[in-house]
Parts: sequence; structure tokens; C-alpha cells
Amino acid sequence: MSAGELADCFDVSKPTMSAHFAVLREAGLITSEKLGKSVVYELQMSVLEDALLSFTQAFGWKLQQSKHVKPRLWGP
Amino acid sequence: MNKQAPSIRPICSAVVGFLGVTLLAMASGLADKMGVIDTVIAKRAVGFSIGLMLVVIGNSLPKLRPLRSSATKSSSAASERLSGWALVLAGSAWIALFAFAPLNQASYVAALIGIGAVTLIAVNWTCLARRTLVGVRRENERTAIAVSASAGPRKIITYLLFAFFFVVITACVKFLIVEKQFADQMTSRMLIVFCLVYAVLFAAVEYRHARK
Repeated sequence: MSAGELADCFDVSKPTMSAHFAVLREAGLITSEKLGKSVVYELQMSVLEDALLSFTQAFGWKLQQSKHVKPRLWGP
Repeated sequence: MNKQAPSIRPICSAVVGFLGVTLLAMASGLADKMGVIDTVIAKRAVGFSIGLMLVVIGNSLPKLRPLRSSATKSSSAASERLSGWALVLAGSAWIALFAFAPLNQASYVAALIGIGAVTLIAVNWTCLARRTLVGVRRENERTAIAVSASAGPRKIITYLLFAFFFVVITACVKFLIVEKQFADQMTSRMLIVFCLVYAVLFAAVEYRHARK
């Protein structure tokens, strides 16, 4: 997802989002690529994190993706 | 397409994990030779350590992104994920086998599992390289930019994975060959080949890095 699309999902300013992305990138949780003027972010999960995500999704827990609404990260 | 500077943290974790587990395996072998621990326990400890190494490196492989370039972006992520899962599952099987199964059977089955996992990864990576070379030549220029942007960490990942696959293949050969003398001869020859190939790889990577 691009930085703009991600920023639309959260009720915080774009510079704040950018600072959060920098922390996540430094921690190795996401990668970023510059495509023209926009920056595209991609999740970077280890096998264990991937397995945990699949496990939680198998039990009906998933990321809620809604635009312009502050998302609840985890929910049934 | 321009990549931001990659995080060094996953690489550090993988290198520390690899070195830690290698030291554990070497300490087990040394303790056996010095007569501190029983041979059976030492063999189990070595097998267990290599299983742990498979899990550690397999777990961090999707984060290391060794195959990543703009030409292979989506397919390389899938390949790295598959390779990571293959190594983690193989490592878990090794750990279980060397913890619970009779040693002779554990060695044989673990060697077959290890060779199977390495073969799967080799075939998968070869197919990816072939697809990239055949179909996406026009992306070469952009790939070169992306590679040069992260050449330092990529060098570390290349050396790490080369050493890791050498350790795994050597362990599989040693576990598969029953006769001790022949197994020792084979591992000595493999060590020589490793040093030669490592020297060539080092020269090639350094030359490529210097050109960029």
C-alpha cells in the first residue's frame, strides 16, 4: 500500500505516519520503495510471524480494512 | 524504482543466531572428542543444533530478502517465503528426530529431510533466476540500481547463506554415510571445495561491488 492510502486509514497527520513508518522500517517489520512521487510500503514478516497471522486468521481474527475510519486492529 | 536503506536488524539477528548455533554444535563435537560427554549425546546435540540453525535462518529468510530485486519483486517474495517455511519445517523435524528418535534412524531420516529441503530451495531459486533472465531483461538497469543501493547488507546475506547451506549439506552427508572414516574423508574434501568456492564467490562479489 502507498503511504497516502495508509494515511487515509488512520486519524493522524501524514508526518506522524511517516515517523511511525520509519520506526517500523528500522525494526525490520516493513519495507519501503519509492515509486515516482509516492512511497509504497510492504509487510515484511518472518515465518513465525506469518504462522501466527495465519493461525489467528484461521480462528476468525483479521485486520479490519476500512477507509476514513480509525480501525480496530484486531476483532472477530 | 528506488529502495530505501534496508534495516540491518534482521541481518544482525540471523548472523548472531547462525554463529551462536554453530558454536554450540562445535562445542558438542569438541566435548565428545575430549571425552567430556557421551558420543551419542554429542551426536544428538550436534543434530539438534543444526536443526535449530535451520529454524533460525529459515525464520529470518523472508526478512533477509536475499533474492530481492525490482525485476523479481513479487515472485522473489513467494520464493523466499516458501524457502523459509521449508527450512523451518525441516529444522523442526530435525529437532524432534534428534530429541526423541533412535540415533541411527534419526540421522538417516534427518539427512534425507535436509537434502530434500535444500533441493527444493535450489530448484525454486533456479526457476526464479531462469524466469528473471528470460523474461525480464529490460528491467536489468533498474535492478542494478536497486542492488547497488543495498550492496553492503546483500554481501553479508550472500556470505551467510553460503556458509549456512555448506554446513547443512555437510551435516546431511555426514549423517547419511554410516562408515566414519569415509564420512570424515568426504567432509574434509567438502571443506576444501567450500574454501575454493568461497574464495571465488568473495572475489566475484567484491569485483561486482567495486564496479558499482
